[in-house]
Amino acid sequence: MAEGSGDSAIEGSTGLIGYIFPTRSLVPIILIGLLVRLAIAPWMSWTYDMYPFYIASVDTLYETGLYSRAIFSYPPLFPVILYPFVLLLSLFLDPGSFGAVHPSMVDVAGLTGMITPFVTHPAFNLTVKLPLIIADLGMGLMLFHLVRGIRDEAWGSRVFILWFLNPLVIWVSSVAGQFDVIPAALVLAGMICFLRNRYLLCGFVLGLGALFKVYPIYILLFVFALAILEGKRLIEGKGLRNAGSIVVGAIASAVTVIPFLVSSPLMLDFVFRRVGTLNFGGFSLWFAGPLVINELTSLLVPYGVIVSIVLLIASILVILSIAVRCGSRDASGMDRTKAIMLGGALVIAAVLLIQPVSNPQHLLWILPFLLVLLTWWEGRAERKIILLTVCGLLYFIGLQSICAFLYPMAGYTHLLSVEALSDHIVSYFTAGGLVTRRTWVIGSAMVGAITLLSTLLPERLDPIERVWGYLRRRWKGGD
Amino acid sequence: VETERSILATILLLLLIGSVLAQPSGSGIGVDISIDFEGDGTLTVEMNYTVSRSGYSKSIGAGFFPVDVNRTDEIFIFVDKHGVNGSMYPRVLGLYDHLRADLEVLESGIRVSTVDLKGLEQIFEGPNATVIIPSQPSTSAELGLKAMEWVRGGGVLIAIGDRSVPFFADGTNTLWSGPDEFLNIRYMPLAFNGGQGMDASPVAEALGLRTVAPTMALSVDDVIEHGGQVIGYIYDRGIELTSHALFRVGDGVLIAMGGHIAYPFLTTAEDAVASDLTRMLLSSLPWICGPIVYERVEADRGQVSGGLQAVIPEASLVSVFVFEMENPQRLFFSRVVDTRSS
Repeated sequence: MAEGSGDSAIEGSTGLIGYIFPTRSLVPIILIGLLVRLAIAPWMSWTYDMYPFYIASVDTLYETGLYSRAIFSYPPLFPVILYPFVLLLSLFLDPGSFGAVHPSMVDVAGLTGMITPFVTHPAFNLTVKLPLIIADLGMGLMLFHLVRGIRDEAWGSRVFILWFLNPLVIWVSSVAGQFDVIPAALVLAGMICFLRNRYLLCGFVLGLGALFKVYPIYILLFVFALAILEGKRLIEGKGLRNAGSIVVGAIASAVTVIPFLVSSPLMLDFVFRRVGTLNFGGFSLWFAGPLVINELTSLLVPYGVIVSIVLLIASILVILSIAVRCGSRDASGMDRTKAIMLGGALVIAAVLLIQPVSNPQHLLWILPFLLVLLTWWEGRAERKIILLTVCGLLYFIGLQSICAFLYPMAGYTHLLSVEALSDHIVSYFTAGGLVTRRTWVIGSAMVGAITLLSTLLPERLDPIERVWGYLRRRWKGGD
Repeated sequence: VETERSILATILLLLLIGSVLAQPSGSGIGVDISIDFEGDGTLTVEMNYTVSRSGYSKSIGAGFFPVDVNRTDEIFIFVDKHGVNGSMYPRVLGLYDHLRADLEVLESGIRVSTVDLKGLEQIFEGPNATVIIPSQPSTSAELGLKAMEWVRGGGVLIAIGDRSVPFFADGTNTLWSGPDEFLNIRYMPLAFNGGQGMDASPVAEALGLRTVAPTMALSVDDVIEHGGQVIGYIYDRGIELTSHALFRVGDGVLIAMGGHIAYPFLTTAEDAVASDLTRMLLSSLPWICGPIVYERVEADRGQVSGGLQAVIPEASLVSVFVFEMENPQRLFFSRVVDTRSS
C-alpha cells in the first residue's frame, strides 16, 4: 500500500476549480449526483424536520428572532447560512406561501407521531436543501483529496463515488432535508486540520460544527485529549500548548453566535435542555426501546436528567479511553493518519451506540470516517458502509413507508393526493402479519447497531466479518 | 499560519455578519388604533386601526369584546413528574417552554413557573393567579373543593384534557363524585376526520385558536346546561362537541380545553395549546362578558386600514385587539380600555 499523508492531498490541488474538479473522470459523477439531488429535492421531504426549518426561516425573515418560539431547538448556525438562500427565495415567493397546513394529514400525524401536518413548498424545499447539496459535494471532495493523498487517485475517486452517489447520503440531504452533512463535513475538516497540526483551525472548525449540531463536541474532546497525549510523547509541554490552541479555536468559533446569546436568552436553555421526550431506540444499544417504550418512558421520566448525565459520563469515559489508545499508537506501530481517523470512527460509533436515540441521518457522522478507513480496512470497511447504508434506508422507509416523504409532491402537484398518502400510511402503520412495521424498523436498527458495535472490535472478533467469512466459505463450498 | 489566520478571520467575519443580520429587529409591524364609545344602556363601540407597511404579506385579525375585569396574573403550570400522568411530563414541559417563549417575545411581562402537587395545593389556598392543569392532578375530593373555592374567589383555572379539572364530576369518570354543585361535564374521544363537520365559534375564529384537533372534546349540551360558553371549535359527531369552553365560577373563571396535549404539532401539541393560552390570556378573554366583534383581513405588504362598529351591552371595560393571525410575534396589540375614561 502506497501511504502518503492528508497534507499532500490538500496542498496538491491548484485553485478552487482544481479542487472542485480534480480529475476529468469525476465530472460525470459530480453531474449525475447533482442532477439526482436537484430532481428530487423539491418534491420530497420529512415534514417533521422541515417544519422547524420553515419556522426558523420565516422568523428570521420576519425579524422576530430565531428562538422567539420553542420550535427550532438546534444551535443557530444552520439558519444563519440558510438565511441568504431564503432571503433570495422571498424575492420570488412570499414567506406566507412557504408552506401550508393540510387538515387531512392531522389524523395520520396523530397516529404515527412523526408527521407534521404542514407541507412546505417545493421551492422552499429546494432552497433548504441547496446548502446541504453543496455540503454533500464539499464532503465528497474533501474525502477525495484526503484519500488521494493517503493512497492514490483511483482510491480517492472510489471513495468519492461511494460518498456522493451513496443512496443514504442522497436521502438524508435531498429527500429528508436533514442537515447532518454540514457538521459531519466540519468534523472531517477538523480532523484534517489536526492531521496537519493546525490545532487552532482544528478547534475553530470543530467548534463551528458544534454550532450546527452539538455532537462535534465529542470529537473536540477526543482531539483535545489526543493533542495532550501526542505532545507529551513528542516534546514535554507542547501537548498542553496544542490542546490550548484547540480550545482557543473552539472559543473563537463561538464568537459567531454572540449576537444570539445577547438577543435570545432562551437559546442555551432550548438547545441544551429541550430534548423532547426521553426516547430510546434507533441505531444505538437501546435499539429494542420501541418494544418497551411506554413502560421505559414512564419508568425513566422522573430520572431523565440522571439518565442523561450517566450516558454523558459513559460517553466521555469511552472517548478518553479511545484517545489514550490512539495516543499510544507507537506501541502498535500504527500510522498517525490511520490512528487518528480510526479514533474518530470509534468515537462516533461509541457516541451513536450510547446516546438514547441514533437516527438514520446520524449515520452520516460515521460514514466519512469509514470511507477513509477503506484505504486500510478495504473490504471490512466496505461491508460496514454497505450495511449501514442499507439499514439506514430501510429504517427511514420502514418508519412510515415511503409515502411519508411524498407530501410535497402530493400537496403541490396533481400526481398524488394528500388524502391517499395519508390513507396508505395509516394502512401501513396498522397492518398486521409476519413482518410488521415494528419488526422492520427494529430489525434494521439492530443490524445497524451491531455494525456500529463491530467497528469497535478487533477484526478477529468482528461479527460482521465472521458472518461474511462464513457466507464466503459456504459460497465457495457450494461452487 | 498566515493563510490559516486569514481563513479563520474570513469565516468568522462572514458568519458573524450572518448572525447579526438574523437577529430580531425589534421594530415589528406598527399599529395605530382609535376607539370611541357612545351610549346609555347599550354601548356603541367604534374602532379604527391602521397597520403599517411590512416586508411581506400579513393576515390581520382585529376586534373587541366587553370584559368586566382588567387583571394580569402570574401563571403556574402544574407539572406531574411522579403522579397519575407521569408520561405527560415531557409534553407539559414542552407547554411550559412554548408558553414562556410566546409570552416573552410579546414582552407581556407575565411570569410563568411550574408547580408540583404540593405547590398546587398551596396556590389554591393563596391569592388570585392563573393556574394551568394539563393532566389529572389527583382524585382527591379535598383538592377539588379547594380548587373550586379558589376559583370562586377570583382565580383563573385552565384545565387541558378530561380529568384535569379537579372539581369536575365527569359523567364518564366513576373514580369519585363530588358534591352536587360540582360541574358535571362529559368529555368524549374526538376523531378529527380531516376537519369534516367542524365549525369555529366566534371566539375561536376571532382569536385564531390553534388547538383544532384535541383527542378529547367536551359535550356542548353539558357546557350550555352548566351556564358555560363555547369558545372553541364545534364538531358534529352525532352529538356536538367542542374543543374549548369557558365557565364563570363565582368571581373566577374556568376554561376547560379538550386535550390532552399530544401529537401532532400545529393542531394538538404543546405549541398549539401555548398559542391558544397566549392569545386568550393576553386579550383578557377569561373576563369576556358580551359578544366578540371582529374582522379578518388578508393583506399584502402595504398599509392596511380597517374599522369596526357595533352596539354591545353596556360595559365599563372593553378589550381591543389587533394581531397577525399566523405569526403573532410580528404584531400583537391588545389593550383593555375603560369606556368611561376614554
